[in-house]
Amino acid sequence: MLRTEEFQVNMGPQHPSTHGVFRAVLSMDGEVVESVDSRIGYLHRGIEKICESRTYPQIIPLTDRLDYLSAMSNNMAFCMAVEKLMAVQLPERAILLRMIIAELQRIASHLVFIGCFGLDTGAITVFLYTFREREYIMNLFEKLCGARLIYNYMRVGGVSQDLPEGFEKETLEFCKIMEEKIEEYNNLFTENYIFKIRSQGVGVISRQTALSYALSGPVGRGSGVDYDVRKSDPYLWYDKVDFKVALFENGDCFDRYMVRVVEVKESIKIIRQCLGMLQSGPVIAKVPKLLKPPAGEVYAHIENPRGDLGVYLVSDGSLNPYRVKFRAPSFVNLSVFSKAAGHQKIADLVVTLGSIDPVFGEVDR
Amino acid sequence: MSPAENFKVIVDSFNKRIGQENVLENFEDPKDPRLLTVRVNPGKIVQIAELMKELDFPYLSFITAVDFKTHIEMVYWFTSLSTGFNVRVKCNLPPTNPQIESLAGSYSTANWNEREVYDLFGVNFLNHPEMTRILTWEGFDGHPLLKKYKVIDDPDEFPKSPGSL
Repeated sequence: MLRTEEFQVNMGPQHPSTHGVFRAVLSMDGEVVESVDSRIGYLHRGIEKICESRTYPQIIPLTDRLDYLSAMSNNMAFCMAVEKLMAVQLPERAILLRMIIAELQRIASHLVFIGCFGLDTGAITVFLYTFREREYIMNLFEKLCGARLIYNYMRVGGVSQDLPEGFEKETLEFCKIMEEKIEEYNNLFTENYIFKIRSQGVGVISRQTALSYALSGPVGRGSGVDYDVRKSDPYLWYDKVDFKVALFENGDCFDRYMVRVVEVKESIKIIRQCLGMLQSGPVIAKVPKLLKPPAGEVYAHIENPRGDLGVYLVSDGSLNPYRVKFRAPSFVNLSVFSKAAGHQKIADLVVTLGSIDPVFGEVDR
Repeated sequence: MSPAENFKVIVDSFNKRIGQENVLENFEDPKDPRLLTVRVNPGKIVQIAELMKELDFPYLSFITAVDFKTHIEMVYWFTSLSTGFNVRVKCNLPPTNPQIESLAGSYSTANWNEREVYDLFGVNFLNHPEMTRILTWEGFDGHPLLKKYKVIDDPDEFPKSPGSL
């Protein structure tokens, strides 16, 4: 007579499908995961503590290292918090540049997601396709500020430099290419029978659970939580452009994937509208060289590709902030993983983790 | 409903449900018209969390703390998804042996948020299902975001981790 017993499998922290340094201790019953114990902190660099001994402009490059797949959005969130504290009014061109760049960044980040999600579900080709398109955006950003991944481009009061020559034309070209390629991904991947079997009904998160875990971004919207900071608490000129919030109801991995596909299309729409409104002018407001915001507390949040990214800033009126807290969407979204991934096969656990799309620079800070 | 009217309803129900003596102050932020701040007695935090759900603030965006040396300030940020209004609930804890009731029973997101605050500030959350460190390792000495925690700049002075040569 064969005897069976529960056993433990240690997945990570170095594992190709954990998207970074994440460790999950799995209690297995055969091939079925009974419970998941998430362990994080392997990339903790104490960024919030370091911020307390740096001046405000010195913190902007630190924020690049949080969510390194959407460094521009992080730059922007921190700058917006300081601007709110100092009551700085942005010039119109700076507002539009920030929106264009934030949306390009969203597309780039979602392209990484779509490609890596393909790898997680066993479709290798789509990874090569999406990284080809992401390269366009990387090249655009390289022309813009000289860096490809961590940019340090935003400044308190605007952006560091104006668009290089031909940027607008190339961005419009990219929008056109991207629209065609999205159809290509859909034909290759979204409508793929195997992919649908791998992702539909897997890792289901109910709306109630999503609310209780305060999930935001594509993870929340895939579960029917109608929350997008761009709509509910509009910043920059997001109330002046026309776009739809992608909302799906089932809460499975496929819906979380679909939210991102639809968001890429919506981002293209926003970029086109912003480019249409763009007029020449200054790109940075007049702010003092030595930034010394008044004492006070402020919270600014934006919709970054992963969700509701917030910066809670406490200033004591000196050159350094007294306390900086980053409300990292990946950290909050990842907390649901133990619940969502339990009671399914280990291969589905990998897909579930991929669909949450955590970036560990931001989870561990 | 305008923010001011909405906030009046919230403050009234706070006073009614948890007692006027436990609501220490409330103020609005001129920089942020959609934000209401309420400072409360830390002993009432669980009742407040339940009340916030009834008041259509089901989304606990984050929990954090600030070390003001004389006290540790807990910050709970609630958001209403239908109106986009925010309520910031604050309470003061003593700097030595700070502790407060956990919200993990009513908001699942509190679990990791509170572990982070425990790890970085040493605030002890009572009745928390798993009160362990989350970002630093077990056996880490001290709570890094407290102001009294010294940052070491010189690599030679780094403490040796157990097992290192």
